[in-house]
Amino acid sequence: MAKLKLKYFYDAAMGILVEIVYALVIMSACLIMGALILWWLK
Amino acid sequence: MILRPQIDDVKVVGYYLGNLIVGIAIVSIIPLIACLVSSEWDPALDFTIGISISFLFGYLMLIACRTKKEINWTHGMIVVSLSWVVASVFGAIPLYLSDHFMSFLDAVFEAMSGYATTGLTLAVDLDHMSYGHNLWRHLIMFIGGQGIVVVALTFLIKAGGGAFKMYVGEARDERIMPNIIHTARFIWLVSIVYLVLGTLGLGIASTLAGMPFGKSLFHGACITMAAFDTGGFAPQSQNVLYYHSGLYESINIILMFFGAINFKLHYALWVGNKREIYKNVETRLFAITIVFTFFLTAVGLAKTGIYSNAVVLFRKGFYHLISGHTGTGHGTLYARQFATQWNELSLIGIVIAMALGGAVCSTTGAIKMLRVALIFKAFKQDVKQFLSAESAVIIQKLHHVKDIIIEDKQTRAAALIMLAYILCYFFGAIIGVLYGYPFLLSLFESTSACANVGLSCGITTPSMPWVLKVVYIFQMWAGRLEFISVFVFMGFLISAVRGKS
Repeated sequence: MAKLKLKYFYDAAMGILVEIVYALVIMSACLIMGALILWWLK
Repeated sequence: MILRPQIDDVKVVGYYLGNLIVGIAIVSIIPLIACLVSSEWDPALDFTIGISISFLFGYLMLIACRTKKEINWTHGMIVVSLSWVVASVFGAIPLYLSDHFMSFLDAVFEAMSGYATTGLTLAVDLDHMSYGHNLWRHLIMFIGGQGIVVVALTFLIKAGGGAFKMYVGEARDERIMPNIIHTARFIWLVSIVYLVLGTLGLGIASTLAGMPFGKSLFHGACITMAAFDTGGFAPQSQNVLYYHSGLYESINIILMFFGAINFKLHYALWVGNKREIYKNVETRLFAITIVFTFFLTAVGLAKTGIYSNAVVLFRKGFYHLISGHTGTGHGTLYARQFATQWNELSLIGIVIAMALGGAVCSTTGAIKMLRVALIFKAFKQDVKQFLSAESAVIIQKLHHVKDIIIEDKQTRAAALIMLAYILCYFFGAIIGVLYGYPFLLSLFESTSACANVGLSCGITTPSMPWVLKVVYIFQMWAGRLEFISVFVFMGFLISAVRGKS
């Protein structure tokens, strides 16, 4: 039972981590794109 | 033929609304306790008066509207649409008594903005508002983000009966779990987990920036409630600009992302289905539309030359883009800077992002990703049909937690709601133009209100015309409920006059 609860907790924590990675990937892509746009329009 | 409503129909609606008003009185006890703990005696009196009036009205309605009639779909829709109006009126009482609002209409505007998770504010001298009133503003935003009915489902209403009928009326037509009460409780679980994580994250970030730890936690909790529920209120008039911290803004961006994700997707990820994040049509389309709208905004901002460095352009441009796209409305600029410093292209990028919104069954407003994906796929299906043999049957699928075959019925519903949103955006914009505001700024503010975003380019102020305040209240209300239950309510009113006996 304790092992099962630990698995639920682990899965939920991993799920949150995946959501954070999703946000960070989009943020990084836009940061790079912003830098490229500034370089392009200079 | 539409039948005229009977007295029992009105009683069913009144009974559930009575329950809701009592519920508001109970929730108002939380800021009352905050006032007592922080020795804010005048605000405590405001909440005591608000709670007393709500209890009195609520119980009177429960007694007057007792009936054996069961709730049906029409009742469910009407209860939901009226719930938001009633909650705003009763929720506005302590706000009005705070002396931070110039009229009761302004206080109702603030409460509706909170419940609808919009974030437009008409508060005067916000920086000197009491802890209790500030907590109340953010708490109503948290309740509105979950959905007033979800709150009621979790604590007040038993499963079965009218539970699902009202849940659907509140623009939440996805069951995460087979039981609707379990679905409501899961929504709460996700929100509480992110509230704790966000409060700690933002609390630490503002402590590092020099704010006392206790105050940091209070501000962290308020900003998290507003960010995860894609609301946009903040305890200070400068909104998130007040904190002057890149780390704070980054954590805030992640919280806004969380708020824009479908609760069904949260569930799939939390039970171990991690691949869903890149298979899901909403997360894919969300990433594409963010990149596209940020491209427009970034090109516009780069052309103005006000942000000459990539990090500053990202901090200002991307922050507001995400704030708009997720429907949050947090800002790190003064409202007038949109009008005076940003050019048309950068504003168009934000307006498109605001108009699209986040995922369905999340806390965002606006058209939403699943509908856009549905309509796009239906277009693709029609084009394929024209290119194929006449007898060919073209099947178009999309992946949203599971593979779904697109049917005309779904496309029609998505297209109708999308059309209603677009008309509502332009309706508010035209009213703004009638009062002398420039079209793009009017469209910006109107889209912000109807899509429940909360970014402002300076039109929303206590001194704006009262008609515009009423229009924005209507837009926030109808936009949050995705129109259908509001239209059903209007139909109910018409049938009371013109229906057959």
